Amino acid sequence: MSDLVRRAQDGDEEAFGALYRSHVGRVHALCLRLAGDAQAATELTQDVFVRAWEALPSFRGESALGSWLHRLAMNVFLGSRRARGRREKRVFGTAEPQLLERPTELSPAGAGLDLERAIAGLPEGARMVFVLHDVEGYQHGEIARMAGIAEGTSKAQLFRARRLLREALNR
Amino acid sequence: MTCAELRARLDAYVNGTLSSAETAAFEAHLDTCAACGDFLANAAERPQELNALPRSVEPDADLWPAITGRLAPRRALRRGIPVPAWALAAAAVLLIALSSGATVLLLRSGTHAPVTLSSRLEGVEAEYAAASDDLGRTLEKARARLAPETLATIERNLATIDSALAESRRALAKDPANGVLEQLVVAAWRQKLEFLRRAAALSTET
Amino acid sequence: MRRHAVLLVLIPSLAGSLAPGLFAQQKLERRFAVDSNVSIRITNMAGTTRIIGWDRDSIAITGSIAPGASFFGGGKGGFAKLGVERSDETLAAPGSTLEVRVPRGARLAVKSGTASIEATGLTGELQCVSVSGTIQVDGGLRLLVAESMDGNLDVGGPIGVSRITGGRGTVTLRDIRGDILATTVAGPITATRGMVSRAHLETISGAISYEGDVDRRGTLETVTHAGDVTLRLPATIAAEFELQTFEGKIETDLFPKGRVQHRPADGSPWTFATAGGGAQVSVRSFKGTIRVLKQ
Repeated sequence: MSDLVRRAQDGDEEAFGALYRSHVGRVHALCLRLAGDAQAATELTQDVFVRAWEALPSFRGESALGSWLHRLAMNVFLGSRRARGRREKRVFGTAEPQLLERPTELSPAGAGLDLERAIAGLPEGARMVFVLHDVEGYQHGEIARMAGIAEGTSKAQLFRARRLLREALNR
Repeated sequence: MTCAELRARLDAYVNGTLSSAETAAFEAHLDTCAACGDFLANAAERPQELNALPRSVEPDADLWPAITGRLAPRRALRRGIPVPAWALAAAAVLLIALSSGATVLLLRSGTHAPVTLSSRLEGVEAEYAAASDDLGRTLEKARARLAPETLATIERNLATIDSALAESRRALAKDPANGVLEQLVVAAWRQKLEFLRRAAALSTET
Repeated sequence: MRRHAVLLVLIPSLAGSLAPGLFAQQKLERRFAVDSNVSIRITNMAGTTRIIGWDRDSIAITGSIAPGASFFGGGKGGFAKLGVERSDETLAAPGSTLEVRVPRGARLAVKSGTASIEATGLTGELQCVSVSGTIQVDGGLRLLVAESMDGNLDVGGPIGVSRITGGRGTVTLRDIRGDILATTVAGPITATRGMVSRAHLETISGAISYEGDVDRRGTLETVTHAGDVTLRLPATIAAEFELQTFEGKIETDLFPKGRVQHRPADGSPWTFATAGGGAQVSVRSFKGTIRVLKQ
């Protein structure tokens, strides 16, 4: 474990600041793609680092700090998604909100959409699986466990995401 | 849903026009059908464009000032053998020790600076610990008046509750950002408190 | 033949003041008139307490009192109090049997240590507490509050509102209706032929088994730490489900094509709806297995 991490664990905010600067790009990229919009990504990134400060004392260096932060970011995202899902569920009275998602109206403009924008335009459930599987490299079994969905759902959503992305990128 | 039915509904699934029951059946089919799973994996490929996707994207503004304002101050830990955060987290730790057949409730104050496992949870735990302590004292005083069999019953029930509470807290320590686990820990505390109330009521009634 | 109440009261108190064991179990018989919605407090720490609802506006007590113990009792109008007093409260001391007939609509508070409590034919309110005595209730009470730290609780409905608290004993609920809250520490909770509008079943390490239906606009919540939860519901139930276990697994066969298993991580809930939703069913466990099955 690096000295910087140890000092941050002991309460050295400056050391934690240095860690923040090394890792924020990676964390923010994940948050941006999971959340789908810049504003939400910014808030999510802040939440992740605040949680990281609280949880850092329990980090014992079994993995690289980056992986640990990554895992934390996903938990924070999934936690906020669950909280949102519970609120939305009452309104629709049906299964997970993603079942009611329709693909966003994509601009009919000629030039192919920027990939990041295309990912952001995906329905939430499909986007989450796509980012975790195709961008971050998790397998369906792992995604199912982390996100609390069935493996079949993960496979279906990935298919959906890839198809929709293909359509968006080919315009 | 059969394989044929699934394959006839690909476009509808992608466009979100299936009913929620059909969507659930579509997804459930893939839980058990490897053939259709492979079919889908091959029918739409991972976009090549992803290879150019940057691993890191800096936020537009510097988020550090906002973050630093939200960090709870923390003093240095004792160095040495790493101590799990949960052991230090609460300002007061409630222990149940069984000695000579009697139930003894001890309240032990942490001698080191409290570590913020989650400042909100720490606050909640401290409240529950304080309330448990009050009830524990009531029970202590009434101990002499309770039949040994009644005491034994109280002890056994309390042991079940405490073991569940400890298990929840251990799980939370391993995954401290988990809001669900936090809820479970708080629920366990509530159950403990409820039980102590019952036991105390029993002891003061007679 | 008419018996004089006064004479009978004397005998138990005589027994109390003379050397214990001089008399064997003493027969008891008393009766007094009360209102039909009388409040009655009954105390019998060891032995058996049997309460039977009847259609008369009076309380009738029969039974046998253990040597060394004494019966007390009296009341009129809206309030009555009766029970057994012992000088020796240790558990080895023999218990007494009380059989008390009360107006059906009475409001009862019954206290016990190891004495078992049985109640039938009541339509009013019953509150009973024991340390380890079993509690058995049958009939159509409006309100039941039953609590035992170690004893088994067996409740037959239909009951309007039930608050049942166990410890390590089993809780058995038959034909439950309406509003029910049942909590144990380690004892299993088993409910059959249920039709609840608002039910909360909670245990730490016991198992929960509920077989029945849920009101169209009702809620059924179950919470365990380590106990497994099995719900057997009508195949056509219209409900929203929220199933959550942290270290266990979830199984259901409510979906069109057979049994589905689900192993979430991090305790995130699995939510789905059947037949457009309606009732709300939620199960939460730390490490128990959750099964939601067709009857």
